[in-house]
Amino acid sequence: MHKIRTISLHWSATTFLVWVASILLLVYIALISIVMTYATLTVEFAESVRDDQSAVASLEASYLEEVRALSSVDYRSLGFVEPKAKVFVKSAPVTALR
Amino acid sequence: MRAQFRHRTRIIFGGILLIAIIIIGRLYFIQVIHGEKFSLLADQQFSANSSGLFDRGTVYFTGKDGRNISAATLETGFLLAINPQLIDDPEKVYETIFSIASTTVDKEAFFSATKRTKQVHVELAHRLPEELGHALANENIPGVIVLRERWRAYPGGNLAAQTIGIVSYGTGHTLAGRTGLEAYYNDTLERTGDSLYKNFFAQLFSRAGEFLVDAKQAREGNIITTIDPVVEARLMEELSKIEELRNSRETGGIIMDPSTGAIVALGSVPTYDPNNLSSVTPSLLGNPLVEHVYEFGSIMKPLTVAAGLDAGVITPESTYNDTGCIDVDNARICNFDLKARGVIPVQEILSQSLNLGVAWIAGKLGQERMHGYFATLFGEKTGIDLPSETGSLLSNLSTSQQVNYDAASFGQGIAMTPVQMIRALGALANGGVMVSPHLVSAVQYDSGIKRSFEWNDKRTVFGQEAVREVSTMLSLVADEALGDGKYKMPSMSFAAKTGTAQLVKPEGGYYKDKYFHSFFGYFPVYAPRYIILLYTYDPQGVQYASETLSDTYIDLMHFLIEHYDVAPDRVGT
Repeated sequence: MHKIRTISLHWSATTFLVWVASILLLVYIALISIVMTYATLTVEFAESVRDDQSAVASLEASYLEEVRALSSVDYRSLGFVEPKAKVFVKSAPVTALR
Repeated sequence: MRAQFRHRTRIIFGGILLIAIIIIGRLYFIQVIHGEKFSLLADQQFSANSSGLFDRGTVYFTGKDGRNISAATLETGFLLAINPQLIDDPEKVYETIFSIASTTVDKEAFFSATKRTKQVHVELAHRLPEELGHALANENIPGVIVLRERWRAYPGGNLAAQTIGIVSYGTGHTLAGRTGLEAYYNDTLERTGDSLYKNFFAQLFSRAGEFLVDAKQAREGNIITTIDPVVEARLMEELSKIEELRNSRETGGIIMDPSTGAIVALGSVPTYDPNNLSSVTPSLLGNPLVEHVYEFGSIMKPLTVAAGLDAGVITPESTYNDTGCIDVDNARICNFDLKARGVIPVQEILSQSLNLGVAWIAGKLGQERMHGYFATLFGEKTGIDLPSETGSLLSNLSTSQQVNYDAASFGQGIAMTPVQMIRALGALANGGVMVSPHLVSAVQYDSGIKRSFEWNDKRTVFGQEAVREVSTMLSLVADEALGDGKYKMPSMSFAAKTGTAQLVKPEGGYYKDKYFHSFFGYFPVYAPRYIILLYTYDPQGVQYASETLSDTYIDLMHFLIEHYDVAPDRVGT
């Protein structure tokens, strides 16, 4: 009887430990898989955002170049002339202070 | 039998446990204890490692419609390198590369690199465009390495370059902001670069808290400035014209909202293109608007008049006897033309820019009171969000010689930065209250949260009545004295004042023929939207600021009225 009880106790403890170790191993592998997948997706997404950002930067550079070119245009060179007479609105605007 | 099985199971289990402990221990030593050392070694082995991982937040301009446009961002491309040990036929490899990217790789450099057979990574070309990089990678040439790389790019080129700043290695191994906003907001802009690939174990074992919530990463974001790129482009264009026409040593300008301190444009020339730093003179990397001090000359006079009015020692109706020159402390102070005006009112001090007039006010204020006003106006740094801001030089106002106070009243003998000057002058356009000049309005964190900055450091210097009276006087200066009235606008009032100061000799004293020209103005006079400060250092062939900066100021003012739809405040005539 004593022998049977001892075997049963040891068998259940070993089984329990093996199960725990297996579950922990599985959880560990799953955790690493999730983290690595998450990291891969995050990095790929970040790369894609940066690539788009780079493309936008090129467009912005073109836009700012245009702005600069417009700022330096001498309108007289394009045929525009100073008006001969300037006429202003006679009534006081709402915001007029004096 | 069963006991034997149990014994063997225990041995196997123990063995597995021991191996697991050894592996985990080894990983701990490699990644946690020696992690930084190995990381550094890896970075040094391939420069591509660090540049390939380069990441950094964006600095944005803000258009008038509130849209953000990148001032500093990242560009992506490719790096071309070779492993000389894997290249058997250099001629053939070069021909293949040449057929795809004919101008990318110098032939001599390529063959020289192939001879470095002890190395496994020799870089040949950086910043290759997308299509070239993909084309080279698709060839799969043995020994040719095509890596993705990222670098800092400034779409605006030299737009606000000295203010935006640069990113460089400096003396260390890491790319970081070194000047301008790049340096001031480096903590927000820089990215840690740690990836989950790199330090999963390290994070898990040593920094479990940071693995879940990283305080540094929570602070990472993008910077949104108050600079309007269209206004900035216009300002830089105008400054360049002055520089070109007058051959000045330096020309600068600031446009600011006087009620909030938000700077919409600022810059100085000569400047540089931050996209091409190889040919930049290091002295240009600083920002003269906060790092250089100047004696501004007569644009100081409105502040002296405001101090006199605020202290109650003069009124707009007060008069004095202008004799043309006076002797003070064995020195002679004169009007710019040495001429006497007789008994004249305060308005004429500003309209004719009379040194004796403000010296008279300085005398009435007394040394202690004048020191008090000027110390409030210029005694402290502005706190602008730029690095290396310098303070003013006001030591002359700590002496007991009246000549120093008289000289300070018309902007000589004391020096301050352009940002300090516009902050002080801004008090005239803001009911006597000085605000904090600033460049950044908000931070947009990577988490998506946007935090607006509050710039609430305000100081009252003058009473509202005093600044209103000075504004009225400056409006008359703009309408009648400036260009003999040719700049008067029928639909808009504006305040303006010119300043011409003699330049200081290195050995002491002043040059007779070298000048510092300045100009400031704001509009509309009684509810100002913008204040503009312009200056040019040592312009050639011209004596007075009215000749160099008046047209520029008027052009900029008209542009701003149009650009921001500033409502008229006068009835047209």
